[in-house]
Amino acid sequence: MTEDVNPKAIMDFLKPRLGARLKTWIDICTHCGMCADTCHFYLASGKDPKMIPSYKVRFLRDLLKKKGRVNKDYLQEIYKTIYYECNMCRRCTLYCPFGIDIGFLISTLRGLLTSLGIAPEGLKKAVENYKLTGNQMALSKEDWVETIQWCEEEAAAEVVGLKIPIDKKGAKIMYTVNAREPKFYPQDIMEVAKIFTVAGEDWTVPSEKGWDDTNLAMFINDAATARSVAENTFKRAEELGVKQIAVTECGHAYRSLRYEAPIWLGYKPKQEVVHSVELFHDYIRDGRIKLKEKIKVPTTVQDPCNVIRNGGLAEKNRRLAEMISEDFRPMKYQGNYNYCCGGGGGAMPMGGEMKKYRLASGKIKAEQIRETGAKIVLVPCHNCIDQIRDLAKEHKLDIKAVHFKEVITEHMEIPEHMIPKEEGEEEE
Amino acid sequence: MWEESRFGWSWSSIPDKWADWMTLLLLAISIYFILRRALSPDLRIITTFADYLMILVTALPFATGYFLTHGTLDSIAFLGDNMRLLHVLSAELMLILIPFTRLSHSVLFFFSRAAAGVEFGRRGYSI
Repeated sequence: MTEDVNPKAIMDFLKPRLGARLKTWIDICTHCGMCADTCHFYLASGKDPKMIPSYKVRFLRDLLKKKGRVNKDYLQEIYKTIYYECNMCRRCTLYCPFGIDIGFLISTLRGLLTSLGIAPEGLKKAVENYKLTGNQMALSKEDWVETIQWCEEEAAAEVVGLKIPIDKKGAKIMYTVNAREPKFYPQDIMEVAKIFTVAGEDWTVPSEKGWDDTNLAMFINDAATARSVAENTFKRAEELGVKQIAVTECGHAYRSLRYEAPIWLGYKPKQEVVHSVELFHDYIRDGRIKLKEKIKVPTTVQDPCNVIRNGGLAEKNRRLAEMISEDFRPMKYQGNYNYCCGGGGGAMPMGGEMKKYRLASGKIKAEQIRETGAKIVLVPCHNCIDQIRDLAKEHKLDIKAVHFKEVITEHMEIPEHMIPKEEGEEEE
Repeated sequence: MWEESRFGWSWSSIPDKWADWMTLLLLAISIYFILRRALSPDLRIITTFADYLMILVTALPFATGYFLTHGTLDSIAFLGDNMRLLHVLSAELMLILIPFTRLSHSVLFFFSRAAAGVEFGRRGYSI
């Protein structure tokens, strides 16, 4: 065994983390194999025993037994397993007789490799960007603010009186986005501005860092960076004195801010974190948004792991889909027990190196969608939507994957006074 | 000892017939688990030697108990003479191994479920 890896570094990482919970989970797995059928990697690979969740976390017990004395090849083997064969969706945890949190164990292994300087390039780059600029796409403050102002102009042409208030103190909601939106999908910002305007919401967006709610550092378990990213957002919320932090249709952003941030920060922030799905659901339920018509073609809805299983919004997600569709068709296992799309846990931002694995493991999701016969798949998550669009091409599905905000904007009733007047009428 | 004390307490016992059938049932289940482990390609990859050992350790007190009451192996001199001893020792071995091996799952099950329950419970649903 070559000694090119420092065993002390490995043990120094693992030892302080060996609390009762982790130790119990490492020790009591009886290798019963019940987790096998729960994993989309296992099913998509034609039941390859190497894809059994329990097998994927064998390294932890092994590392402790070897006291960290392993070589580079071994670390490479760990890397392939924990990045190419797991989305940390935690479906197996729900089926494990002991409730062993495999996602947590994989995450611990990812943190170990990160501490040794090993992580996927795509995620490493994003983490560097967070450290330098506070957002994953390395947008400057000027670019961000200009994008918002441009979005405001564009959207105001369709909804009269539309404003995107920047740094408005005392607003009820501070809206945060995925940095992909200003960079690639500005229409997402326009759509949400229209919804908020029609619903009469008191909202604002921050100009300083903290506006990017994503947290890719969570996927490589770089807790220090993850903490500082979440801290930025809560700091802005504190400055602006808002009551709620709203998160765009993004899964891990919501989970990290609502459920992981209190652990990283060591205290519970005052502001409530809400996901767009909750807001839109409440607007339509309470009649603040009225629909001109419902979606006519068959629809189904994806349950992103970090919004549903790890975010607790199963019911609202489904009810929102039902409220806006005439022909809603649930997937098999709709809700907390739904399969991962294969794009979670950092698989999308990992880029090229992950592509063939995620397209293969996404087979299960593609089959689920095909079974429903839906033509529109509602997807409240940025990673899922990109993955499902790729799956549609790869597995020849005749579907359109959309965010809720896109279809709500298309189908909502815009009040009379907000409808732009025709050229001729204005002259009168 | 309770019996000899002034209280005169004693354990009540289940009928021999029940005990026999329940023992045989447990042994059958043990054999099933060993075969399942040995034959399923899924289980073979995650199985370690200890997994087999745990099944044997658990089954042994029951097997020796059955042999003892029925004299099944009495024709083999050593076993015939020492079955009572083997029965007690095998049961003690199992009890001693509980804290040091995977057998601890019988107790830790509740803590593990509780930890998972907290994790998903704070997300507003139970598992």
